[in-house]
Amino acid sequence: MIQRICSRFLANSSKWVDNIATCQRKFALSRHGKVFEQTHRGHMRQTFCLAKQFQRQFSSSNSNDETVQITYVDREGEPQVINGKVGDNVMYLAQRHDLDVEGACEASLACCTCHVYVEKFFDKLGEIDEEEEDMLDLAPFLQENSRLSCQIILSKELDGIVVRLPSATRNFYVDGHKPKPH
Amino acid sequence: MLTNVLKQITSKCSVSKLYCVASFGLSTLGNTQPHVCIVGSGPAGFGVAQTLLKNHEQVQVDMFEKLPVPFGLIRYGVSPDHQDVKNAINGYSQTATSKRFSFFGNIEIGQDVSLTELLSAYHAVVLCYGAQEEATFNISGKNLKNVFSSKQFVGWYNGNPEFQNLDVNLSGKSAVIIGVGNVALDCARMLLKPTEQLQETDITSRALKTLQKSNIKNVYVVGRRGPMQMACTRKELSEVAGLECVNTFVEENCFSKSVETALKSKDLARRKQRRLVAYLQKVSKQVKDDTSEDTKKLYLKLLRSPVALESKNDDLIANVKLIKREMQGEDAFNPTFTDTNVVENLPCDIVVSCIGYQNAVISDDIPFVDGKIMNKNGKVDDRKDLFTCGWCSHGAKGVLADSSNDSLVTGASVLSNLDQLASDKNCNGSNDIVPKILQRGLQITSWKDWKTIDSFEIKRGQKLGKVREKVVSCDEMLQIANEGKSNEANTSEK
Repeated sequence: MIQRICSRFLANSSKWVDNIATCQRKFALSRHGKVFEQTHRGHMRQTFCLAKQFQRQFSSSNSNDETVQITYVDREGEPQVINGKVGDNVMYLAQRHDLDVEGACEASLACCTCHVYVEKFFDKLGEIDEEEEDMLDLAPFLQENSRLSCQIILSKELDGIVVRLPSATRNFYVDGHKPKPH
Repeated sequence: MLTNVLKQITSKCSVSKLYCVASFGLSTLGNTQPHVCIVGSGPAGFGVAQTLLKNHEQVQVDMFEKLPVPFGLIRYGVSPDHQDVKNAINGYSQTATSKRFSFFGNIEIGQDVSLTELLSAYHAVVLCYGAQEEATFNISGKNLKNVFSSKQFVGWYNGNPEFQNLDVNLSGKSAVIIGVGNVALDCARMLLKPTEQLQETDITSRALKTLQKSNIKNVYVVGRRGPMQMACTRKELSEVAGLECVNTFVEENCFSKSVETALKSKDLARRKQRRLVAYLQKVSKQVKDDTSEDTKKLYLKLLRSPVALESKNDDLIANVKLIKREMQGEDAFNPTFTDTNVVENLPCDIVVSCIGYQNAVISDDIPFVDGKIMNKNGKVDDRKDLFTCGWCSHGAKGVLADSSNDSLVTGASVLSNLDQLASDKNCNGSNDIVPKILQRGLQITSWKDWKTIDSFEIKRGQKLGKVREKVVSCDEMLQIANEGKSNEANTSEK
């Protein structure tokens, strides 16, 4: 039994892992990933089948006029293509798909834990509010294309948008700056 | 065989995906459930808990907190008028619903339980207890009446049980805040903001009453360095300077030629300072109508060193003695400062020093250097089962986003060592430690107890038209928790 599962893994391991990840997202009970509480091997097999079904469902929704494709590049650099809908909030969409976007203040512009880099279509996003700029002041690893994902709402014009999550790294004094006693 | 499979998979997939596979492998290797203990229940603690639970299928996470109630600085640091920031509590509470998470409140590590005891009960211990000590402020007169540290003052209005007996006297006209960080601006704002804008928040009723009767009209914020060295953000400053009833004053010489040049810089790393100073320059030019009774004044006194706190005849604060300083150099981001001989006296009735926090030493065998626990990516130097995250790992610096970023890093460090640690040692987490605690006659609060206290506070707040009225004594918290338990027992008997 184990051998069989293992050989499946060997055959196309990364694809299977992707399937599990997709399935995990679908099973996510909440944005905090109370996923897979009851992991048993039996369930894993079921999961594989379900994963396939979900993938089919996923691809069939492509034809919808309301669909907006968005690519999230996760903190490890892996791109994940997700089909959102017009009106979806980029932060909540990421959370629904179990990506590591915290969004602690729940889109109330009181933190910057949903900070992303907009790699494609940054210019299509329009002006940034002063309040968002204020929060970006505090964002670790700020770049020119930084935005708060909770302030990006998908529109048809943004179909194909690419956003990247900053990699999780220690950000204190990475620039060689040492605090001087004053 | 299995190891090979895992190796091949790990080479192909990312960390977060790895763990669902790794734990699948683990179940065939033997069923050692890893037990992790987190010390502290603030943003760093909950961040790490979240990372661990999300990425490991079996880990049991136990969180210890000194106070009977959770959330650390989210509850006791964030200002009452920043309720949106406190939304983070919703996410943390979601994490706490996991079956593999337990909360043990009212237990102080280093006092009630030693770190050594924790380490022997758990496979890994993560220190997330923040920076709880006030930075040392060496100035004569710091023990005068009505001189407070930010820790005391913030704790007072936020309902921290430790500071409820603080005798805050706001009958005078002038306040001096020492320091120009966000906490300093929080304190200035609490003193200047119309209380109608505070009365529905979770500020304690007692603090609200004192503020309602306050006579404070002038708030001086004193900083030793120049405008580009202010540690606050534009947002924090605008929340005070932007108040309808407040006029803000800053001296012209703060906007020297080098500052003007610095304002034109395009360096992203300096963006925060540039936006702050540009804003300051703007507000300093707009003087609002100050004939009204309600108009209050905020004075930014930069380039000044406080040298003494003085009283008149009694032991009540009456004056802050400052020495003016000068800023030299072409680069306003990195200037040099020199003291002048010019002395300035600020008559005042209350002083709050907001000069930062430092780490507390909870155990002698943690490697501390400069008030920070020496660590690499959250793993404490030379220790295999001790980790750290948040302010105690790098000093009191950074906001929520930094802590959550930090918790991903520390979380990954714990995860990459966890299965090895779990197979090396046989221990049962809370099953080992809780009986010891109970034997010592200590009362532990559970997550359920917190929910009882939480709903009590919310109900009490509703009656007063506030989002919450905090319980401000630990004894009362424990009593409410106990009553909740006995009520439940009665209901189940019926």
